[in-house]
Amino acid sequence: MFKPFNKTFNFSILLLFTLLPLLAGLGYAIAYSFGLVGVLNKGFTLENWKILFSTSEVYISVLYTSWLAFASLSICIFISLAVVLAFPTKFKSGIFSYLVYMPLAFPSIVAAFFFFQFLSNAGILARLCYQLGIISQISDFPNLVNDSYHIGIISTQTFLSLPFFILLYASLYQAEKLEDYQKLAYALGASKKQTIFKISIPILLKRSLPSIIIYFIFKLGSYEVPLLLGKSSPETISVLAVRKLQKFNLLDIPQGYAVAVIYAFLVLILLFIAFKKSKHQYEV
Amino acid sequence: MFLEVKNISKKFKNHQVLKEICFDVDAHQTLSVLGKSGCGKSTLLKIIAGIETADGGTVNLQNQNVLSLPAQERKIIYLFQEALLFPNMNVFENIAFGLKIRNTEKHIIKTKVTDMLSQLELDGYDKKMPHELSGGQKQRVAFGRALILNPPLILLDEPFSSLDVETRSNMQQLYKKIAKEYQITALFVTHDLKEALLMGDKICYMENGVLEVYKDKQSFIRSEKTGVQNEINFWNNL
Repeated sequence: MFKPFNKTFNFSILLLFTLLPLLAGLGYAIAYSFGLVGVLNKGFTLENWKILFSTSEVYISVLYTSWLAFASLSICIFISLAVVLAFPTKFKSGIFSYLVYMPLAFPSIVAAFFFFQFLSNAGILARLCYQLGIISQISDFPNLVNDSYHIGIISTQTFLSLPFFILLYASLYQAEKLEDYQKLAYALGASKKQTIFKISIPILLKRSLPSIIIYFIFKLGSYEVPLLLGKSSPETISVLAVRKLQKFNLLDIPQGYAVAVIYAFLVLILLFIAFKKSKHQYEV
Repeated sequence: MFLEVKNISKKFKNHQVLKEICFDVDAHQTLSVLGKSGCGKSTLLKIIAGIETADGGTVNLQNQNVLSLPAQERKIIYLFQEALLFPNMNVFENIAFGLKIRNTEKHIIKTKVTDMLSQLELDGYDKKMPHELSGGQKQRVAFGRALILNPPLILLDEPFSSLDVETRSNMQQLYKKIAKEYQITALFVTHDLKEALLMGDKICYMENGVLEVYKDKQSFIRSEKTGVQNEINFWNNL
């Protein structure tokens, strides 16, 4: 009897607290980027978008952000798959089940500072190498933060994501009855290597694909780690957007909003793919 | 004797699950193993398949003791209660799995799988994914995946227990037909009295880790502990 009311009420709450603020924010950003709102804007114009796309800055920023997210996620997935397949039951109970949660307790900014202290060319690792006699001077140590290969950012992102993926794959291992599939594969004559590469890894990857896409989106938006450990150029989308929004030149603000709009649409496309993939998840 | 099991024992902590199990099976015969849940039927099959280790005894398959061999070298196929189709593969790939890992040539795989699909009455299902199949169809694919390797021995662990009555009956008929055509030697574990009688050429009954083999179906029916007499009385008194 109360069902229709409940449905409407639930939808209203969802609309009010989640969709409405997001849509309002996106709408404001679109309007600002097209000159419809804002103190210095004088009406509809494509000028801000033209300026933004007249240089390669935004293209490079999108590629750079995607590359960082892709690289750190790939390393993270590789390590977590290896750990879970080597020790499938270690994370169910005991010391490992607590230790794996540790990095989750680090806020991004703390992890970024830690890796800055650890990897910089006068940092802990450099001093350790010097004390061990691996390098003759501390300054001989390669700079692993603010570096051209983005080692600092990728290491920190991997460290922050690793527990999530280890826990995800450890729970999928149990939920997907992977042990039964492995036994079956052995009974059908598969070797250990064939079982890992043809059964275990494909099943875990397929099952975790929506989570991978959502985590990729999360990584695209990371701000503190690339700001602290990255070079001044190229910049990630978040860093670029914030710089343009907070710059002294107020005329750059609409471009900042345009960058935010590009990011929002990129995320929406990826979310659409993630939901489509999770809809097509298999049941056995 | 094709399969000879002698004095197999197994203990989990303080619980003796299998006590000196002895039986044999002729080639191309199906032996039904009837017993209640938890009586040790699945453990016995897992030991023969190499998934579980025995505390003592021997398992001779075609005059070779296979207990010391790893599961993948025994050439015995164990079919689980669930179909367990690999969810990352379609029907064709599932059936072809055993052949592919043996590096069988592509055209041979295609011919064999197509023939198998036809035998299993699954023509046109080759591209379907496991989640697109019914329970009975999944079990047929699981059968096909095992049969295509032409294993000397198949172990079936209550393969139809999760199916509805009609599908179960169809699957029993299909199994009988395929077992005859492929000359299968099998152990068929079930807790269903009727199924044990239908599927087995020979029947044995397991209770508290002890296995009793009946020399023919009549002695199985006459035995008090198998429950057949109770069943007959029930239907007669209706």
